[in-house]
Amino acid sequence: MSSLDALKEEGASLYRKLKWQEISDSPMVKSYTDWSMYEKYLGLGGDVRYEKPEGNYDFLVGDCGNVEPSYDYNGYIKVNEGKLAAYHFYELERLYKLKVSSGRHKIAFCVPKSKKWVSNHLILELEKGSKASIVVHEQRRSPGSTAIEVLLDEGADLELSIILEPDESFPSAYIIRKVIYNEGSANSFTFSTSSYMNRIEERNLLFKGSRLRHRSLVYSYRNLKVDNIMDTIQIGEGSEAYVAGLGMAFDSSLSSIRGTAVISEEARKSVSDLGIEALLIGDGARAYTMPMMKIDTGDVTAANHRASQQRLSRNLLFYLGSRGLTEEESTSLVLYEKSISILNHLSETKSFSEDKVKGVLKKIYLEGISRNYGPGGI
Amino acid sequence: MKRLGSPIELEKELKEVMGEKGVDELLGKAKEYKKEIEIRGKIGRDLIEEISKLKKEPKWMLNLRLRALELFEKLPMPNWVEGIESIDVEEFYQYVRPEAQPGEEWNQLPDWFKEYYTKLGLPEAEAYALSGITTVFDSENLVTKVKEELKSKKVIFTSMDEAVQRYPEIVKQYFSRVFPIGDYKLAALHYALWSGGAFVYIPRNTSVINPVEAYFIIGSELEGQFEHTLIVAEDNAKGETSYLHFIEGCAAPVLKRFSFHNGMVEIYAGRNSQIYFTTLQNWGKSIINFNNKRAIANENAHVEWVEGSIGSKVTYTYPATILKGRGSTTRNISVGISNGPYIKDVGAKAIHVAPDTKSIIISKSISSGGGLATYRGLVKILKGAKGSFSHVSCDSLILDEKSRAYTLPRNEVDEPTATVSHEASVDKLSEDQLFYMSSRGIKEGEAKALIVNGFIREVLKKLPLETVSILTKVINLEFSELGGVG
Amino acid sequence: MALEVLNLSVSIGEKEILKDVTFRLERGETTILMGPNGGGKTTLSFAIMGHPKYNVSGKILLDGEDISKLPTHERALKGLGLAFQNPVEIPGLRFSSLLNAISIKKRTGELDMSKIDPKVIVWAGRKLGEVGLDRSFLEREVNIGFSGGEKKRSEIVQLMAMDPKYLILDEPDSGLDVDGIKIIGNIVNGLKANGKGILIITHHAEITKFVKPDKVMIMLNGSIVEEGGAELIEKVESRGYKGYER
Repeated sequence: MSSLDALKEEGASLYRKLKWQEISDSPMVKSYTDWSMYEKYLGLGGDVRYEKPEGNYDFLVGDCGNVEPSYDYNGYIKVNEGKLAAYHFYELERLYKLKVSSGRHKIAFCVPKSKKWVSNHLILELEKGSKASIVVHEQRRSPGSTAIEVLLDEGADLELSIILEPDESFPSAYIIRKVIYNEGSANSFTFSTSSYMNRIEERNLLFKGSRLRHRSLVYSYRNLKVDNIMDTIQIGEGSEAYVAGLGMAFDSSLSSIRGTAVISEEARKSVSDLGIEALLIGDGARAYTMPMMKIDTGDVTAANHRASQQRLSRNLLFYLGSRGLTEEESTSLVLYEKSISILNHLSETKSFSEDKVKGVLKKIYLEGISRNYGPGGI
Repeated sequence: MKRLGSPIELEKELKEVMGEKGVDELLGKAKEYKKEIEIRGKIGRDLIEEISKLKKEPKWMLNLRLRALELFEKLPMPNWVEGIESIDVEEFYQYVRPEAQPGEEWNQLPDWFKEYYTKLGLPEAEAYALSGITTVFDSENLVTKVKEELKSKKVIFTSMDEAVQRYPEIVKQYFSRVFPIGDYKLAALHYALWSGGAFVYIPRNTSVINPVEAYFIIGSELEGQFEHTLIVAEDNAKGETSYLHFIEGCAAPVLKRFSFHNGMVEIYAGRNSQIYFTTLQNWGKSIINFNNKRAIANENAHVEWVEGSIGSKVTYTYPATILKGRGSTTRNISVGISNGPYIKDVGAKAIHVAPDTKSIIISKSISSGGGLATYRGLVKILKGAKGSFSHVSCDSLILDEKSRAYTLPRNEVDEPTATVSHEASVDKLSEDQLFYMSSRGIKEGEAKALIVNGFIREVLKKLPLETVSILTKVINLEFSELGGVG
Repeated sequence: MALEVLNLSVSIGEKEILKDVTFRLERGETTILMGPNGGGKTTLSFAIMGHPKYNVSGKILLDGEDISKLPTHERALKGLGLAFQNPVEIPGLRFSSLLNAISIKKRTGELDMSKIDPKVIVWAGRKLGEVGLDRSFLEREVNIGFSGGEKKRSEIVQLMAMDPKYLILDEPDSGLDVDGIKIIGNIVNGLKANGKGILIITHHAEITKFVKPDKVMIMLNGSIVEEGGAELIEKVESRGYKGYER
């Protein structure tokens, strides 16, 4: 455990030395996250105001809220992981920790309003054997980074929906960690709208006998960019991870959806399944997918991954056309339904998530963002 | 006579060699042989000029080498290369010329060379199945045979060095135009030091029925081999096509220390041409193998890469096709086996530039005995490559607990009308399967060979017959050493 | 009033698939279109419905109006319904949502996905029962993992939701057992009695055990080679299509 002050100090000296990224994402694209967007905000000063978010929440995290800040850090993010982590800690004014017992919890961050980088950090600790459902909602009107760490003690059972609404005109970065100790179990969902450059870096650590079912959904529109990373690292025997990411790229936006599934040497008899799908809607839309797999033991029960990027096929549009739907209607119907179907593994947090997803999709359509249709190749 | 590590089938009993443990043991311990010239030292202007002078090269080639040297010095070591401690390229002999007279006949060779080639079955294969063969030993081509089919069709087939002398206009036009000199550090090193290799030029509307083969041997430890192969198929007339099947094989005897192979293949596939390139990589376990392969496919051309990657300590190879012409297609099939504490880092790249292009990538990898088999791939669809299609499938089979399998695909789609899909799975050999087989009297090694053959059968169906047969044999050989374990 | 196909020729690239096809489908009549596989039957149904991959010449008149230039969805809204032989899979789209969308679009001319009409769902549950499918079918993703028979039944329910004037059923009897074919047959007879024009494309003509056709057409190599009454079915069943080949 280290003190927040020490971390801030370390972050201050490290962020100037560390690189955003050591290894290229591909031979042709150095990085799917456009780091130059963040670079501009490093070291900028300015005021920050925190506003209460609309709606009813059990816990409000931040200066407007009802949770006491904490001064010791016991999370999993290392200040020397890279420039982003270092700068996140450097700018972190308050650290919040919540011990969560069984039951339903709705948590929201106070909404920071600023032109400078704002760091948010929340650690949720689930008690041993508890059974809880949690909604975490973050909106921001500032650039910056938000870390959300969820630690499930042994045998804890969690349903978690994280809803992220960054400000479109600033870069945003999310560092999410879920650690599931022995025999723990989580059904989780992460949803994010787009920003100037939006990086969602989610890492799941699975111990012995633990289970994770995770879904993520991102929309990108206009010329915004999202880089959605979901890594799963299984280090315990008999663990199971089922992860799927869906991205929809409208207009001239870029959706990158990727993840690495690691089954370490100790995680014998484990299962990993990773599926990534990107739908390209706009005429300038781009999608990058990287479903990676590193299997370090031959004693693996199952490991599969798949990815696809496409438009709705000509045959599909013809089929729905024969039912009286235009191409635009067919596309929006399928997008809508696909978005909703990704929430099937949720129960108590489902309606909250569904409302948010529907709301954003409606906004995309109302603003006429996706005007360009036309079928894919087949 | 045994014919192994080469892609041409001979109806010989495999049993004879089942006791031996890979092609390096088949070739036995490295033989002492006389070397006319050996160059080792600081990789700089002096060394490059010395090599170029030895080869009596024209000025333009020397200049190309020097440009490459400059880039080599500037470029960083690739940071994605895993599993290799920093290679000290100055520890290796950068150029080795064995004492032997190059020519067209096997008989002209000193006995100890002849013995290697005979063990590999090359003279026999050449006699009945090939339209041409060239063999590279260390840094130079030794035997180059051009048979009647090539001569009558006016196909040029020669060593790369000779091509520089005899066909400078064609070489100037294509050499280093497919694989850029500054692509990455080791490509630049290759261009600075290249020596030996094959050159093929296919005139328009010409199909070569029998395959041509190039065979590479590294004879000593601490040696660097930088052979370069360039294949050029001219644009064909409308409705006409051309065809070539090029086979390359490689081998090395048992060496005490490492040697370094940094070869390159460039293919320029003109309009409507079809180029099939098969590699049977069966280097011994002391070879660090970088293989740089790239093709440009013009309108309606088809380029097919088949890679059987069996031997070597570590192998890095990602054959790439740039689909530059409308309607061009590529297929890339790789079978990588990492048996023992070795690394196979193999994959494929398909860069879709033009509309209606198509790529199919199939990778099958097997790891065993603590090996790591990695698929590393890239599918890039550039904006404007409308209606393009790509499908990638990667299957890995892990044969024991301590072995590993990585799948690292990248799909980058900048054109929304494209369709790209990727699927991958990892399977293991189960104890139940092994037990079942042993109850039928099948030993562990044999069982593994059977399972591996089953695992890659689907891929084999897509390959030329001669490739299939030799791959099957090499796999049996690779796993037969485990026979005694069970 | 009728659906008229006049001198319809269809090609893809340089390949001609249909040559100068002309026929007339009256309301309240059932026509059977028979022919060997690869003869152009499915192409005909796709071309009438307006699949964008074809180059089409000739005319298609729906109650006198030329629809041959209209996009697919407008043809559907004007009263043309096609039950596909091999309907495409749509991951994520629930059957109930598709029926809801079809029905809302049909009634209001617009699609608002967030509106769910409970009446449609009740109606759909009943219709599913009529074709022999369980109500839980509503929650399945469209055509994913459907058996051959489930696809046929699902297509019929969708057409009933559209309530078209003319129905084209592409191989409605393949992949179904006798009971299934009987159910579909009875529905067809009911639709006919309600004044719909029905074109049934079939390879084996199993469905004619339950549906009495008013007209039978034989299609071979992209052309209609013979027209007649029910007696043609027997002729084909006893002699095959060989007799038509030149």
